Parts: sequence; C-alpha cells; structure tokens
Amino acid sequence: MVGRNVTCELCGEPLFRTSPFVRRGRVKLPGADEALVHVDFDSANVVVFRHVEADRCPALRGER
Amino acid sequence: MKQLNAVISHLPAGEVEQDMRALRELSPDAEFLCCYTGPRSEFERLGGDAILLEDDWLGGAPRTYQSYHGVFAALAERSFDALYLIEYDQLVLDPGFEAALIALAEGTGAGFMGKNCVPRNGTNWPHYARFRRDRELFDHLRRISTREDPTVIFGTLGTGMWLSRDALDSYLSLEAHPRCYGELYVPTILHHLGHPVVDIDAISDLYRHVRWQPDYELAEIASLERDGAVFVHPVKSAATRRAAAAAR
Repeated sequence: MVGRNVTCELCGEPLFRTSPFVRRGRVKLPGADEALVHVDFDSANVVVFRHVEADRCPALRGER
Repeated sequence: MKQLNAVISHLPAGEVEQDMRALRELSPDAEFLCCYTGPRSEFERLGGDAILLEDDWLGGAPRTYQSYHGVFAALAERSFDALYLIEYDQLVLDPGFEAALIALAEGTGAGFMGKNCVPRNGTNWPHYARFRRDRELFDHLRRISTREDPTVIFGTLGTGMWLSRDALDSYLSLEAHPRCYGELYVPTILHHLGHPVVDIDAISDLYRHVRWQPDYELAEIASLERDGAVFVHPVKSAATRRAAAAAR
C-alpha cells in the first residue's frame, strides 16, 4: 500500500497506511479498512485516529 | 451465582456431541446447553441438553440482520442468574472460566460483558457505518433509553457475550425490535435500558486470545493453554478442536 502510516493518537502505534484523496465530495482513505479505528477532528483541518480495541492499545488499558 | 453456558452450533450432530462432551468433561460442574441452529433432522440425533432454534434469526449471512431475539426468548424459562453465550468455535481451556467471568461481573456490576465492547460512534466499524443513519433504530433508542444520550451505539464480538439475568429480562421485556444486527444491538439496547456494559479487554486478559480471525492452530492452542489462557477463538476446524480436547 502506498502512502504513509497513520498512528493511534493515544499509543502512537501504526493503525493503517494510506494516501487520502477526495472523491464525489468525500475524503477516501484507502487502507483504513485494515484496522478498526475511531476518528475525530483535532483542529479545524486535522483529523486524528485511535484504536477502538483495548487489547490492541496499551493506552486504552491504562498502561501508558 | 448460577451461570448457564449456551453454545450456539449449526454443525452435524456428531460434531456437536463431541464439542459438548469436551466442555462437560472440562468443567463437570458447569451447566452447558446447546442452542442448535442446524436442521431439525440433525437436532433430533442430539442427546443431552439442547434446544432447537428454527427461526433463522442467527442463521443469516454475515453483515445482514442476525439477531439474538430467538435464542434469548428460548432461554427465558430456564433458571439461571447469568447467561454466557458462546459460538461452537470458542474453546474453553480453563475449568475455572465461570468463576473468572463472575468475578469480573461482580467487580464491575456488569449487566453485559463482551469482547471489545465499547461505544462505536465515530468509528469505521462496518456495522456502525451501516446503521448510523437508521431512523428506525434511533427512534427505538429514543423511546426506550434511560441514558442522557440516546444515540450511543455499542458493538461487541458475537461470541463470548455475558448477560446478567436482569439484563436478559430487560431485553425480553421489549415488545418490538427494529431490524438490526446482534453484535451492535444487544450491547446497545442493554446500555440504553440502564445496564452497565463492560469491555472485558479493558479490565482483564480473559479475552486476550479471543479474536475475530484468523483461526488458531493446534500448536498455538497448546502453547496458550500452557500459559494459562482461559479461552481461544476462533477454532473452526473440528479436527483441531478434537485434538485440543484430547491433549488435555
């Protein structure tokens, strides 16, 4: 997969690799479907991702 | 606390018998019941404690509208304080599994516990994406929710769902359900009915080796069992399940 790693904003581990583009008014993230992730805006033009599953994320288990 | 362990299986009767025997031999004091979703002709060959689920609510293709209404209703008249629902391909490796689950439930006050059982709003979980604008579901949640935010959507893995009797009775008290998907609907509805919904992975290692896919191989299972794993999922190969049981 071309592109760059997107990492979990909580634990810093890679979530998926992508190269986003806009199509029909939507932002497409090829590769994002390789992981189960939560998405949110961190600022007006930056979206951040994090793990959903605690068994994959030390931060969600309170370990980091 | 008396726990009923219900095992959902659609396999041929001979395989079901062997799976159920392995569970009963591992943990003779636990109560196991087969919830059979295969053909009636196979069900009639089953011995032991088993019920037939013919409604096909659990038999739909993945990512359609599988539901647990039928299995919950079929168990309503049974006597238990907690229901543990697993699929045939979840192996129980530790005879102390009931005590481990009950300790978690009592420690958290859970009405429902599951694998990766967390709110899924704002995620790319395919079932959240499917239902995030489902008017029928959200109208239903707004009608019945005891929570401040009636739009919270939970998700969990379909195997390894633990419910308190109160939670089950609450679910069964609802007269109607929107068309939905069980792995989303069960924890979501129980949350909105006021029951604490707990993610087992956030508080313990009990489900560390329970995953959606891929299948576990025999050597991995043996190694995990030596290391104290309580459950392993998925093990879809009957030969692997037989070999794992024989190796005990």
